Amino acid sequence: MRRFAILPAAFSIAAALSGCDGGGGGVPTNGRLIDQVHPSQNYAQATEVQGLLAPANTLASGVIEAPEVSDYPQAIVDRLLASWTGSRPDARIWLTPDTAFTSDVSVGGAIFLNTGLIRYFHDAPEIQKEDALAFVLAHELSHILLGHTAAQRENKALKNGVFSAMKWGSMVGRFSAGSGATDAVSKAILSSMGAKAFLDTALFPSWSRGQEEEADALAVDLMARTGYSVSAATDVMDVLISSEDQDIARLAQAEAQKETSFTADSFTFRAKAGDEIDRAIVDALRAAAQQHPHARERRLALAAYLRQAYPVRAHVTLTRKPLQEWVKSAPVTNLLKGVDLLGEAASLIGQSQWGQARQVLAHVRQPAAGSAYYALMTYQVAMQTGQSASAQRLLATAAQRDDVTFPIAVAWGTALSAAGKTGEAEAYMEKEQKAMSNTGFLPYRIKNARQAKDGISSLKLSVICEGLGDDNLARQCSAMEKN
Amino acid sequence: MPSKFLARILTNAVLSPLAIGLLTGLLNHALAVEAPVIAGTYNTPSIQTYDRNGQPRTQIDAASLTGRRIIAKDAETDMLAVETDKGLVYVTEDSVEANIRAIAPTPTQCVQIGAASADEVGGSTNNLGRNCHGS
Repeated sequence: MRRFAILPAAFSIAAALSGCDGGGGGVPTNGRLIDQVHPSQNYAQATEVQGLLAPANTLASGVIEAPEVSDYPQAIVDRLLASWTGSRPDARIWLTPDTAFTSDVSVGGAIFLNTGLIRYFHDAPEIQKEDALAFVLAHELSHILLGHTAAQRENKALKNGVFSAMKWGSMVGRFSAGSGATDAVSKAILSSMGAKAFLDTALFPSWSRGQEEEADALAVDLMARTGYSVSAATDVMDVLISSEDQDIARLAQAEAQKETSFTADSFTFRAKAGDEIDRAIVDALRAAAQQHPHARERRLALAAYLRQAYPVRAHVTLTRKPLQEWVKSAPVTNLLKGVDLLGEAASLIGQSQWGQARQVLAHVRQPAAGSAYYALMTYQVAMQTGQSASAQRLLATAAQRDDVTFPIAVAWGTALSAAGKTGEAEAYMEKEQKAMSNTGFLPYRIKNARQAKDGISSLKLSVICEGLGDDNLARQCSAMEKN
Repeated sequence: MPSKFLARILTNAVLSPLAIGLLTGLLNHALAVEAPVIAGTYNTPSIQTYDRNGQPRTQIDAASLTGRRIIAKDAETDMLAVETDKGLVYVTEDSVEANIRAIAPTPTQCVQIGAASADEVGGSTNNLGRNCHGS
């Protein structure tokens, strides 16, 4: 009787969590989303730059500050926001040296524009219209206006907190095996995965897909109000579809000869080449976790929304010239060149080709040369090529940047710890953890506490880490406790 | 005034074939191997059409568009010029399913340098598309 009582309770908690998605009405089938959404009265604004830049500062690539490049897209964001009748967040654009055709948004209200996306606009004449860039920016802005990012982070944290207390995977596995479930795949899933991984993947990712489609819909509404052509959204969708098709083809080619696998949270299920039953399970798991490509579905959803919300369009002339001038301008060209060199240097560093990396880095100019990414790589190259004193100076300076990245901060904390300055290391990493809202510092703080022979602090930090319910993080903390 | 009106008519008459020619070239540049046609209409019964200047005209039977050749994409409005039995009509790009593919971006090479954060919540993102770090 007891295990039957636990299962419905767990599902009802999970159902309550999945309802807390922020903005949450979905894309309307009648009328425009912008006319039906209830604008927030206030938006989360980070008090420190590190908070604003999360999660971009989680990565080595960080951000690049270049107002001569970001002023143009910022002006587009400001125009889009002027058409929003609710309270307006302070949505600032930051450039991220990442080759992917994508953009991103932070809880603190920062919009990240990848240089890979700028590069595509630079290289492809067909998409060189301000309306298309407006869709990209409006999409990210819509995530802020609809409260998606904040809700997603809160719910993930809550989910992790709830399920860390429930180690009942094998219990539910036994329950489901005798439950009368007839579907062979779902039985295999439940009994082999355990309840936590199943619930994590089956119930929570539904936020992501629905949120993407909501952001697409509100984006075209903002575009329409600002005077942009809503049809330009289709051009961006087509690029996303081509990009996904390319990824699928590469993955299929790689998996044809080897195993396929599904990974979510700390669980991995592998299927060997030729094992069709296990491959079907991987496919079912990917479907449950919404790891399947989504761009075509988004295009369909957007087409349906445009059909009903904008059935007859007034004539709108595309705005081409400003964007064409921007992508060909010297600041953008310099930025793209610099980021290409950073990418080349990173690739060489990944292969431990330190001398060649140094040569490439020597050719990097502003604004790329002013980035945290450049600082991290020059530090690493200096360390590996016998220039320790210079490396430490570079690292000490980089660690105090407003846009400091997680890898730099960890490197500095670790360096302080190794030098016996354990108190300073803990103070620094604690400060950065709080500023970045990034608990990834915990394992390094545990290691530092052990270095300081401070068993109490080490234990305290370990308990905090375990209590977060993040399996990967807990594993890393546990490894640091033992070393 | 009348001379300006005539001048505008003449200009449009001369430019339109030129524009269509240029646009056809641009369209072909962006295409996959096959010529662009309307592959579908999202199971809708009728499609809104427009004139060359982007002004709304009538709705037409969606079936009359399926399989039809796309002559050009208007540079000013992105509308698709489609050849039908009743002549050239313009439709919005999103109202039909056309076999026009965009050039794929350069594949992302994911390189990890420095420490990686294991914080799942801290790494939450709302990417526009997929990359090494997002979903």
